[in-house]
Amino acid sequence: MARRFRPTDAFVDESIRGQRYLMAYVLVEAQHLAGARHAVRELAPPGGRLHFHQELNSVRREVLETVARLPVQIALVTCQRRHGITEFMAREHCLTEIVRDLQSRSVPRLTIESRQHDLDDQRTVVRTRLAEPSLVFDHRLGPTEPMLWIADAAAWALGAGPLWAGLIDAVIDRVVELRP
Amino acid sequence: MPKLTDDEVREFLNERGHLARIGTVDDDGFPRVLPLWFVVEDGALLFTPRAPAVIWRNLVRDPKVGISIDEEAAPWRKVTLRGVVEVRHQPGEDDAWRDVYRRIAKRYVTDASADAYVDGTDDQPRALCAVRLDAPTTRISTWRMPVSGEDPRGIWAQRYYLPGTKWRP
Repeated sequence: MARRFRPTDAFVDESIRGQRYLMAYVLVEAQHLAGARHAVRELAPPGGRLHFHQELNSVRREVLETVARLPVQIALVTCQRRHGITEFMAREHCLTEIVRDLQSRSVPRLTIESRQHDLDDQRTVVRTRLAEPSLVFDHRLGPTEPMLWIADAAAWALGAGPLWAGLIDAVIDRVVELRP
Repeated sequence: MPKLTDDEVREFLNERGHLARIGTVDDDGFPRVLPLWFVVEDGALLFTPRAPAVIWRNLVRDPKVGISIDEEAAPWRKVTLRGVVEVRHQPGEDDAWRDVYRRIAKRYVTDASADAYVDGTDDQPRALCAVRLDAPTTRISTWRMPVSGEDPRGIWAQRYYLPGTKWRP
């Protein structure tokens, strides 16, 4: 019988495609964290990081094919920025859904790529998070955490259409489209 | 081991002047303990970290806390608890609950000093945090020294006495 996937960590990054706001989160078990980080770091330039929207298509393909072989799962939450939904509100809706999903799966740690407005994320998480199960949350700078590069790549690919999204189909866990 | 009754816990926590020594965990994993003013109202222990404080950042990251409220003279009553902080108001919503902070301050300093302090710092945002004493995530333990007429060997919980030692009951 296959062992049940019990992720301990989630890493989140966002992408914007036209009116769509996308937040991808990578789920991983603690025992696979070091290996996943190493695999992705190997694909970056020495001392640098991957930033998907700046990479060549050949690099993108190589990264996504690598991600598809990692022992991770990836989920996507999207929200349309229209009918009065601002980018701020779209992010708030997506992050609220992510926190709810993580607590429903008892994932204990959440890491979000740091931006200029981390306080807004803090308010959303504090407002949404339940007392149990425990969910510890932090922001980290993208260059310091390769798992955030995977979230960045996944958010980009899942917003770029079926050809790119298909490359990581093997590790896609769920796609949720919010219609607030 | 002498424990406080529910009435004694209530009385102790309502006495003026005791501090809540609140433990959180810093982002490098080190524990941080801060003595803070508090009040217990409607079954919840309330305290008010300032927005730039490390303890607030720690609570945003991880709302689990350990708290000790104790006294420095006999019978050294103490109430310790662990629990999960519920954020009643995030920083910036202070106007909605400033009367709570005024009540907290008046437990520690004179009314006039409390008013001056609260009014003088009302432009500095705080959060209103609560640990509900009856929450399923809250664990409370209490202790005091044996008092006159009680067996002094009852000072410890039984499990602390090694087999064959002098005071093992």
